[in-house]
Amino acid sequence: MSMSLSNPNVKQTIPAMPGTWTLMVFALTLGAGMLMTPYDPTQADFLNRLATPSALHWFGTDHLGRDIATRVLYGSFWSLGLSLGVVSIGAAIGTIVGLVAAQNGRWVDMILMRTTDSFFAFPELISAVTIAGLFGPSTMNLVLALIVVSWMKFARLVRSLAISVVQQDYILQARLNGLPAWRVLWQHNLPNILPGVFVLWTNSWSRTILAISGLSFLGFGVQPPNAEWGAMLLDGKAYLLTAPHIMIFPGLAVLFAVLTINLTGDRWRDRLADNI
Amino acid sequence: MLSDNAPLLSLNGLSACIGRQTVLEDVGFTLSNGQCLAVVGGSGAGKSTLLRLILGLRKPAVPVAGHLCFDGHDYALSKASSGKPMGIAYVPQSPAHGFDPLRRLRWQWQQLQRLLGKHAAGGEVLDALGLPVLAKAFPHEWSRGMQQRLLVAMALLEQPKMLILDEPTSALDPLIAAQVLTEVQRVAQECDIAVMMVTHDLALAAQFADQIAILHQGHMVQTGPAQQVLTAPSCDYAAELVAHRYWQQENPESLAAE
Repeated sequence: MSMSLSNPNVKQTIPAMPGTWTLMVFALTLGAGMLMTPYDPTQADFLNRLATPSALHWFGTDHLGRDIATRVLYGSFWSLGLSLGVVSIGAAIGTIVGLVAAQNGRWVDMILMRTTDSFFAFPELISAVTIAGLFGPSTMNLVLALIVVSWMKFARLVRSLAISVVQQDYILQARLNGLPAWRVLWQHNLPNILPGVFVLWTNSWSRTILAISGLSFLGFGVQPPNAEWGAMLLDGKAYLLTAPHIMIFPGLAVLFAVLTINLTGDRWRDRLADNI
Repeated sequence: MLSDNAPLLSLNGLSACIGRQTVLEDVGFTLSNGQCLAVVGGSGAGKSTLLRLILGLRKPAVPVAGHLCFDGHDYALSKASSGKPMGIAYVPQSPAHGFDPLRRLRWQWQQLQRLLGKHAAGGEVLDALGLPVLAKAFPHEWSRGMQQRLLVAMALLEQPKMLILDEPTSALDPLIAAQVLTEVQRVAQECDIAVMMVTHDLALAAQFADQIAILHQGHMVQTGPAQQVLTAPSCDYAAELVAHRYWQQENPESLAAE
């Protein structure tokens, strides 16, 4: 480990400690909380409507008497987990498109990159709203809509990184010595590209959290009674003045999640500054 | 060290273009066992293209004509590439691009051994070049000179009949470059390996090569024994190269004496 720390290239592959640790503690707290909470996130309890924060209900209860702390914890599954899935699928698609574009000749490259450009023309939120409007609001449509608008940045980045890696002599040597093309790709191209992709991935993750929360707040995303942070903000909107805690806690959750992920991504970007 | 046998490598009538531009026109030379040929030329003379075509890499240039005979095998360069001719090993230009920065040197060395099926030969080659046993070092932990020597070792692992060196000194300072090339020369003579080096540095070529070929705008303007090219340049360009070969050194004799 000490050797890899002293290596300017290899330190790029080990986590940027503080940011990554914060993120892991954050995720562990959420997971442990979900296991330990005595409440059901969707079970209404009308006797305890709009209760203010107390020892029994740490973050209070909402207009149906559901425990907000529990809903924030379970909401992390949608907000963090769903966005993680969306952004990972987007990254995978973009990476494949970028690699294929970089690896193949002029025509394939041109067609793929012009397609990427045309997808860039769709504004992110508006296309998500349009897809939700066309196919009806549901979690599945939200996921599809967000994937459709998330892969292009990865395609562009991977293509440019792959083109610069392909020109390196070690790739040429490996090919001259008869290493099969897919193994060159797997053993040399991909490891040298992935650090850059990872930075974009963290960045896109936090943006996707905001997008999912935003769309759910507008009613296009995760549907009630599921506890999603954006949907919880929507629930609390009517009670903003009388019971502000309904909106404050899910709002803080979004804030902390996005901030932590962004800071982690920033640390990674600083470490990789020479590469991208 | 001219051999009496047929030449190891003979290249005839190689022409190539990139797009519509002709980058090489009717280039040819021969190289015998154990001989050292330096292809000298400025930027854009077609040196790299020549080298890549001999290695069987068609991109980005497309050969339109040419015939390569190496070690008794014929390669028609105008046809689809048949890959690298057996027995030619390539030493990349710069250690900075020659190693995968994320892989330990030992990993890269062992991968090459697996590819070439040469598990046993490794130690001797490293010894011959004065390199230590590869520990867990990453490429950047070694000096440039050692990295370049390891690149040479990796090429020698193939037990080639010919080494191709691409700008062997452009990434090194002059002293290290001279040391590395001296090693290459010594090993090449011991193992009777032909060397073709591509360089822009005529002074260096004069020091190490038996034969010099001067490439200018895709044409081979002069080929011949090093002394002859240096003393009797055949055209203006060659004469100019010869005249300015020591422009970096104030005292050429000190280098020649080394």
